[in-house]
Amino acid sequence: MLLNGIHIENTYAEAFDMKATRLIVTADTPAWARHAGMAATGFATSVIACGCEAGIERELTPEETPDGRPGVSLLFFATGRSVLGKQVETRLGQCILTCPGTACFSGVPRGSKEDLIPMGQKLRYFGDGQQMSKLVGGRRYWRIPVMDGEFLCEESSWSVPAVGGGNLLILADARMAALEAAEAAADAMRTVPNVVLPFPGGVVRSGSKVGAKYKGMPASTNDAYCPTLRGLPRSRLPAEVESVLEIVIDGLTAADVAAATTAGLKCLIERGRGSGVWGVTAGNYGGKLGRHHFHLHELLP
Amino acid sequence: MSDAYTLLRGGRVCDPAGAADGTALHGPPRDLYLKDGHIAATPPEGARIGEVVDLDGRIVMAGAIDIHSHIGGGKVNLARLLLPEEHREHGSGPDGLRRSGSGLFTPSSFVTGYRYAEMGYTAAFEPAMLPSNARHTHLELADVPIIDKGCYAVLGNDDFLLERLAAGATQSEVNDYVAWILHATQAVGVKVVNPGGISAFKFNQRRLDLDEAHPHYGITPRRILTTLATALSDLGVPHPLHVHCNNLGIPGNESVTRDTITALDGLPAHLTHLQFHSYGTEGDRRFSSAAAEIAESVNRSPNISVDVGQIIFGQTITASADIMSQFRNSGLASPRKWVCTDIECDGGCGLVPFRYRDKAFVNALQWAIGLELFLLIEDPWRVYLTTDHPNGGPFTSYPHLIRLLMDRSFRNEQLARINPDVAAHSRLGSIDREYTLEEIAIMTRAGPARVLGLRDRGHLRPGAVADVVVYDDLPDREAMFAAPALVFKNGRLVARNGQLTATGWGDTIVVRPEFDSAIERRLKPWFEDHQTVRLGNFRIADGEILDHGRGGLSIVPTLTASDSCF
Amino acid sequence: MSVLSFRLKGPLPGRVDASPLLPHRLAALTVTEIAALPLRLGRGHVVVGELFDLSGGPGDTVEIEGDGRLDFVGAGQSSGTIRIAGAVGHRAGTGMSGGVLVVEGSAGLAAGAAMRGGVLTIGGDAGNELGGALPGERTGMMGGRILVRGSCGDRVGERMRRGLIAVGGDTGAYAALHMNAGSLLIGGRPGAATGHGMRNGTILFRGEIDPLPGFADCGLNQLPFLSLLDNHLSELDGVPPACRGLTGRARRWLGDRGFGGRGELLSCL
Repeated sequence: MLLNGIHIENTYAEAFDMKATRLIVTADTPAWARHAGMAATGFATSVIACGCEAGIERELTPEETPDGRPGVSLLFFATGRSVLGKQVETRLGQCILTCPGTACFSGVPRGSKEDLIPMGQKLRYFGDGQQMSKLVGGRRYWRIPVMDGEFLCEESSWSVPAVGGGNLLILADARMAALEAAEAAADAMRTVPNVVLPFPGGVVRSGSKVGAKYKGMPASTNDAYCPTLRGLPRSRLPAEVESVLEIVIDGLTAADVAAATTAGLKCLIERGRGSGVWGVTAGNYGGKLGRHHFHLHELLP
Repeated sequence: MSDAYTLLRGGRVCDPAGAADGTALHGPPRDLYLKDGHIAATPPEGARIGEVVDLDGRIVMAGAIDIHSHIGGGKVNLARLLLPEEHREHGSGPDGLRRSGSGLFTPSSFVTGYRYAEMGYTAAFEPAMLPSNARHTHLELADVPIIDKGCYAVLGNDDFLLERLAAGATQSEVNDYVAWILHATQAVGVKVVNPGGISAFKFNQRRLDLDEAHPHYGITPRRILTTLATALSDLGVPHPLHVHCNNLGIPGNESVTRDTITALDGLPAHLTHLQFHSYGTEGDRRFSSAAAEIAESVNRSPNISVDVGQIIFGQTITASADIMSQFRNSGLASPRKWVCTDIECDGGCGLVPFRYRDKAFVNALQWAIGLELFLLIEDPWRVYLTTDHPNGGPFTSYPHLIRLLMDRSFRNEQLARINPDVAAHSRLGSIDREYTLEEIAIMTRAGPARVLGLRDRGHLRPGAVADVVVYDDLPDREAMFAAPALVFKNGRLVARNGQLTATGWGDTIVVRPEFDSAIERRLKPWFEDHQTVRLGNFRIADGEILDHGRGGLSIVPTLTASDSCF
Repeated sequence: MSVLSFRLKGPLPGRVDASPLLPHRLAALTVTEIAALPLRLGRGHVVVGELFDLSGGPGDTVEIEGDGRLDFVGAGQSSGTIRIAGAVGHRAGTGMSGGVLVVEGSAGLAAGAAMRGGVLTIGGDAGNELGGALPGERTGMMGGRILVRGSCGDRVGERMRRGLIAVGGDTGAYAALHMNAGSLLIGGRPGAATGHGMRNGTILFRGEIDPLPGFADCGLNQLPFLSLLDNHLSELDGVPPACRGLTGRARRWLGDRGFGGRGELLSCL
């Protein structure tokens, strides 16, 4: 299919069931909330080696936060509840507790005991007996004395079902053209609620395929889309495409991932062939690994 | 005085301490005459019979006697204060006959009297009256209706005695002191609790063996024990020393219990709540039953009588003067609150609420140990039915306990329900013995009466106080003993089918041995210097007990050389 | 939703135990049956119909005309609404576990004692032992909310373990005696020995206080938790205005250290 001069391949992105949670981090200024959020969601691009995928969902105004201060909302995705809990615990302890003036709250509705993600419940021991807990409006908060005052942290959050691994591959004539298109698409996709784009700037250049010729490598470079290998039979790239970039989408529901996909497609199509984008495709594993399939032709704007 | 007789016609009388026909249970029914509150001999022809009660072959026994039951005094009151929830949940209002009251295992004074009477008990003895608490205890027991009551004064940890013993007091000085205490506190016996141990606790000792010297006074529990036992024997007090041995509840305490029996060397003594003192250290858990060894030791020592202190599963509170053991157990408190306190340097007091759980190995084995003791001690005249109320369970569980003793299949059913390891660690399942009704009558009536020196109670011979209980001969002994058909106290019907029908007041039973009042010359300055009241005020006058006719005093005669001692 | 109203026929002749008049219990009965319910009056009993005129129908809400001798109103309440026009006697809402109890007038002793849940609102003053502990119990209030517009007596929140008490006016002596946890907001002046024996929990008030020597002065602090609490209070009905408007800045004392406690007194700005 050709829209506004851009090839939209008739294929689908294959995504997986994951577990996710949302944390609200507030601080005295938006900048310090952002610092905490960036650090906590840093090194969280792919579950392959980071343990979780995470990002800043959006920034929050004081009116939107529980304690009336500016904040950010963070989404964390992992393959299961317990690994998610471990990741949240270490990131909370190392990146949010440590950051001046922050407080941290759960950003999901109260869930069941099996879905519990410990927050203050584990972190409180940092208080060495001087911590205090308060139950306000049915939720428990821990107050941990720290050097700039008190770190206020909700006792726990809960994991919710989520979808990870939605993606778009942008095929462009040149590297700068691919980069500018990816930036624009990522900006558009970030406006969709309940999703994050976990890679740096939302964009990834080292798309991967399952398996490798080397033992012990679960994944290796997606050689079918590497322009330097264009001449090989397995290449999926037309001759004019010199650079490919991917945008990975994690969302709380399939609908959220679909909405983000649509937003990305809309942006790319509107920019047109003149922006140097040749076409858009998506990555899948033949449909055998992930339950969720996002067909590009069904998600066109 | 009335000249009319009450005739209880055609009952099967079970009166082991009665005349030669004590086994009349299997013989023809017999008539029993009551007159002026006493059992009367068969009246002459033409005497006026006021009332005839047809018993139709029901079983007749004397009123039961509880030899060891914490029913009044400072520590019981503290227990009530510690567990207000028990009293909130189990309250009853006045109903025209009863006064209001509350409580389940620490019942208020009125409820205590009503419940005992409804179960066919007509006397109960408060075993741990600290002399400094005597007035409180008597005031409280004065509010226990219907039943007769008596108290054992607790000695053996009081500084006066320990100091005098350390200073080398003669036996006769101790005798005079003991007798003076019996008079002054209106007691019927003397109990020694963890001899020397309670005092040693206050000097930071947490365990004291029979031959271990007290850290301050330098005297041993053995010395305290034998001196007090000798004193009571010399004074002719019928109830021998009531001994709560050292190291209650500690695994391995059976050795100190057996040493105590040996140390008494033929002196009469009563070992109380023996179950808590019969623990060995065998097995993986270092906790085992030593009931067989202890029973063997008791069987061989005719000078010793015991009560068991059986535990009953469920919530209760342990109340003891043995502050050493109570402090040790305070971590087990359930609900999680407890009290340990000194009482005027006279003794101690510890209260630890406890729930005996049938699935817990230790509790279940305690249960089995108690039953083993009952069944392995051969002479029912020397082993008495108690739960050490409320320590092992409330006195209201006696009917259940009687069924456990009388009904082997019921007992084995219960054994099968509790922690399964216990059946493997205990010989209880292999004991065939079942108590007979006569043996129950002995252990709940005749035996306690004899060991307390109550000549006119515990039997149904003419002249005895007319405390008579009539039971339906039900196959379910628990139901039978829980709700006797008729209960007479002093010849008056007070309960029918386990329901109170009348109330009244019983006597306070005391003993008054002779002594040399010169002891007061030593005591007076001691009271001036160390006690909170003066000697003159410490002594409880008869009038305080009699209370213008509401209370009564019944004096147990002291033994003389001609009396047979057992 | 039907409302059942109890109008007093005259002043009560003695102290009456109103604990049977709970919405969920009455909902199962007809008005005639309710009129025949016995209530404890002194040492005896009296039927509801002798004391009250009934109108309306049994349902979720009960309205009662109050009297200072009407005790145990809403004691053990677990659901529904009880609204009292006027004052109540002692032990209103004792052991309450849910529902709403609104007393428009004042309450006597031990209102909301041993409360476990629900909301108790008192328009007037409350007596001693507001939200306190039943005699001899290790724990007092274990949950729920008590909002008092006026002042209260001594030992408010004794042995409190969880929940919120907000008193618009002054509190008497020994407020939060042996408090274990929970929050006590005082809009007016705290009385003598406030926080004695407290092991944990928070007492908030305004202005000067001379705390017991067992409290360590930790100076002025910015506490984000206070903003959170203030936000929460803004969502509730009936919070005394004097308890509102916490800025997050407070002087903090920790104690009662004589009891190994680390509860806090917060003098809020």
